Amino acid sequence: MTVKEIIKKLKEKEISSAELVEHYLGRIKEADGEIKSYLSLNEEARKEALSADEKLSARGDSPLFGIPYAVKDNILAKDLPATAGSRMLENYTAAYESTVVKNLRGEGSIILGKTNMDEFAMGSSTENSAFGPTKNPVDTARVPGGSSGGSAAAVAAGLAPWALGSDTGGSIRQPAAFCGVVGFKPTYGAVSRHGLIAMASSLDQIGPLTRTVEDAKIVFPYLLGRDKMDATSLEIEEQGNIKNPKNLKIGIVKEFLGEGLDERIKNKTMEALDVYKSLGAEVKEISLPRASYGLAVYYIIMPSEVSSNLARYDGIRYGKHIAEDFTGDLLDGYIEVRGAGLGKETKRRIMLGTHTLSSGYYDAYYLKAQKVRSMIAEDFAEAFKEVDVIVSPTTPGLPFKFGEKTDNPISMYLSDVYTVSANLVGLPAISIPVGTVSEDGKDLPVGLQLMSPHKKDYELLDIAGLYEKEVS
Amino acid sequence: MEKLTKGEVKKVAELSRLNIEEKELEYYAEELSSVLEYARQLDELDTSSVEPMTQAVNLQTVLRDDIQEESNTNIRARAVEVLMRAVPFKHNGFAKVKSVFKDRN
Repeated sequence: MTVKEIIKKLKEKEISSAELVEHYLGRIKEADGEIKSYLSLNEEARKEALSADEKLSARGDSPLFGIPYAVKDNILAKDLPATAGSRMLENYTAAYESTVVKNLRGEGSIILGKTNMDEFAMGSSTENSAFGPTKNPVDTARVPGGSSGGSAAAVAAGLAPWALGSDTGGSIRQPAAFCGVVGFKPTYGAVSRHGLIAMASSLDQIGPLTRTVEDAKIVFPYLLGRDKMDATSLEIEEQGNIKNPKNLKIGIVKEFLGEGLDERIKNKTMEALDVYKSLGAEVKEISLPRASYGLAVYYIIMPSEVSSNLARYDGIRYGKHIAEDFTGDLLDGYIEVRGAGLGKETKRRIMLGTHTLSSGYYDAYYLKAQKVRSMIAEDFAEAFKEVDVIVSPTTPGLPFKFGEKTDNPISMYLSDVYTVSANLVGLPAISIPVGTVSEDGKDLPVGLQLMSPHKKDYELLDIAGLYEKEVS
Repeated sequence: MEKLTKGEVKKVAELSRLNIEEKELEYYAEELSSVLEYARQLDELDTSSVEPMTQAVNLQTVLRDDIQEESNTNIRARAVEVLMRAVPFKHNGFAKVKSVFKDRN
């Protein structure tokens, strides 16, 4: 069921909130033993649904009233666990509410549970979760993508109508593409990061995973808003006018169609563009000459910020702690706890960032990367003078099999080669499903990525919606 | 680009406050070097006249009037209670941690 269908059914009293929650908990019981998209369930969900049914008169004009959803486990919901997929936070319960969950609670939404993810959102397959991987519902021999793999799998398998994820370099869009759902990363700052367990603060952004673009547009306004708890948050104004597709200029990125791209994905990308052409849109090839450096920039800036953000896991303040009978001093304790509580990929990135920020290397790596980041922003600014929206494949390859890329970090990192630029520049970007490719007897989903200028989030949703309306 | 030596990895691990076992040093040296090697492609670009970009969206400093805000002692007490619930070792209402300084006796 889509969010839109659920709203209609609730309004027409075809279904109650309690029945809805029961339906999803039933689906989870039935299917999640294999898929493993949830790390924990909200014990209070049934009670909250009953109370929503009793208070229907309080619904007012809130469309999300009484509708359940899932939350990635790095977003805090008071009194529920928040592990961020790490042993370090295995026993941590959120002491306060993230702004985005607070907003949704205010709208009467109900959390079904917290979803699995790569540890501290570091990864592209959910294989880095300390609690075991999530499987792709389309083909359980394959990864769901990551790091929001649990949220994407839950939505794809019908274990939640929609879910929250977070995206630092493609962590909403890439799993959405792999699982055949819609994944939307808003403009940097559109959704408050207060209560999001930080990975790389200049890149992190919360966004929704939904079954349709239409659903993304329904939930998006309720995630937004300036928040005094997050000084980087900003207002996004509704543009609210669907562009006439006849005046629409779409740019396809030349540099993202070359080496490393699966030919079958390239074909699907072109077929999707044909749909826009048939609506009367103009499609032209554009060049982002320095966007191909995006991944290298990302793999300097992100670990640098990670090394700083993850310094808070010291074995004292929360999560895994130094044992009471530990005989070493405080420093020994830090080293002991972090060594035992953090996984390989997390350690790799912390050390990488510590190195790139260290005296003597800062200029060569970090400063250089920030300068190239400026150049990439310039490329986008130039391109947006000519086109309204920039399009590329979401991923260079199809969902891969478990273990296929775990021994080679660079090949895993390449999964995000088309998605990282939107984070570096802060642009809104969405991945929408554009058909499937047959492999090993399974129809594997393919995603198309669309990017718009800063704060044009609503326009981006409208443009993505044009394709959806046309093909459905 | 030189490959990171085991000694350098050891130093970085120490700075990162991470316990890396001797037998893992080689593995991390390989892994970190391969990512740094990949990043060297940025040297192809001349950035001498480019300003670094430290934020993605043009942010403004957020200010408020310098007026003391009402502090709600009830909210504060509740916050302390919630936070103290997460503290594993307590002593007389304080969080107990390992000593920072060695005993001089």
